[in-house]
Amino acid sequence: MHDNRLAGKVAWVTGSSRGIGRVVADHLASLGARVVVHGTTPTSTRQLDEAESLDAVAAEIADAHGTEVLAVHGDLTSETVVDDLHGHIRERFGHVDILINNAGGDIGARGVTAENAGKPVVNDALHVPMEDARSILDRNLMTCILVTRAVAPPMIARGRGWIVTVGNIAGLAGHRGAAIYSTAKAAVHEYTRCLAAQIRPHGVYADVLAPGEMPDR
Amino acid sequence: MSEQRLAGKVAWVTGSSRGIGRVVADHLASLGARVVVHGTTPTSTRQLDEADSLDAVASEIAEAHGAEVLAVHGDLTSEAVVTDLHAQVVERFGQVDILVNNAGGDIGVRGVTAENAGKPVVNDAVEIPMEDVRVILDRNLMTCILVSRAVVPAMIERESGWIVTIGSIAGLSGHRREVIYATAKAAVHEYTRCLAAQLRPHGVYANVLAPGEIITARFVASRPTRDERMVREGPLTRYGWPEEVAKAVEFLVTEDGSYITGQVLRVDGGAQIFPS
Repeated sequence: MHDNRLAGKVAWVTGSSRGIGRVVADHLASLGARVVVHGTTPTSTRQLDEAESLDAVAAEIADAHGTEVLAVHGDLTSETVVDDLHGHIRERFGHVDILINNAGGDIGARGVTAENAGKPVVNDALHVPMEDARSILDRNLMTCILVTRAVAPPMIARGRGWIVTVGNIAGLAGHRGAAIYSTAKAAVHEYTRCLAAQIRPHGVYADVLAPGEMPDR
Repeated sequence: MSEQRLAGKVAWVTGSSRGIGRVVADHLASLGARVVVHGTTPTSTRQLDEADSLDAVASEIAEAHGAEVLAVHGDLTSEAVVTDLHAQVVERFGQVDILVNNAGGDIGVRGVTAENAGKPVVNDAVEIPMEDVRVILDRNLMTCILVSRAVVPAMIERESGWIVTIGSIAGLSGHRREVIYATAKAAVHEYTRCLAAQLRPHGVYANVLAPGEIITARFVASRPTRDERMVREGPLTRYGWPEEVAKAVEFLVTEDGSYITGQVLRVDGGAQIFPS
């Protein structure tokens, strides 16, 4: 059925308990990759009623495509958590060939279960509460930096790897809403461009996808 | 002598104890503005031997142009400090008409007095120490956000104001070094563009200047330089001078720039040609 063009590859998709990340993880599995799904908690999936648990998401993907799927959970804004999760993955699969820096979102300090799925109530450049500003910068920018720092060095050592950062068109223009989210996304775009410049002599790829409006759930 | 086109205006230039910021503050004073100079400490000026103290910088500018100059000092990565400094400025001058978000730099956790003027020793995307990452993001991005939040609401109320963020061409392309600095500058570019979108109905301007290689004490201390580029005139492959950034600030905060907001203007002698 599938051409299994990613057979033998290991793909880690951060923030794949829900939304775009989950569909990306499923798709990579359909192409034959062994996949690591990740959520902040074992039940992040329930926040918007997308699945019973991260384990259920992993089982569903594994059953659908006959692939190996590992579920890991933890807060990627913590360097020690990132190192710990990366350790789990290497223990299970040996290495990561494909990293999708997908975790993030315009989600403030109250989290995704708050009204409007956690978008700050005041979401402009001037009056957004600083706790929301810090939360959004950590969630989108620091996660990308920390996971990349953990995963990229072995890719460089092997002379092979693919990093895809999920950015956003919000970070490509100026607008009145979602100002800090846009700021964070512009930052991950630039970080990934610099990463690409650094790793191209080593045969490792780094690109950004900047989605527009995606109807997940 | 000078035409005093900024007479009556109050301009706060963050990070103006040294380097580009100091020259911008001097230039705005020469145009008649009352100026607030700022450094992290009262003697940040000494770090690269640029002046004895922030007060000395303030006096020099005041005497040169007959302008009122206020010196304030503190760490702009602290919200409480920013609020306090803003209150000092408002108490003295009543308002801020022009904010130049200049504070920043590719300066890691060891500070500007360390070798290479504080650039992280490992300065790439992958191996740079996390403590340097956090300091550089705070120093360039959080300072811009915090000071803008403090100063801009009163500009909206008065329906008058000009914000110029000093970014960098580093944030406009991908490269192997200065990665977190470039990331932070890309972030302040975007933050300022969003600010411009929010402020345009209120008659308040927000623009970014993205300098290239500009000759300052820190520039010279942080890298090898080439003598043939250290010239005032000639091929545009030369380095730039802080006065050339200051003139671009003047352009953006006067009638010259009356229909320009939300832009990122490179001041780099064409080192990057759009879209780079």
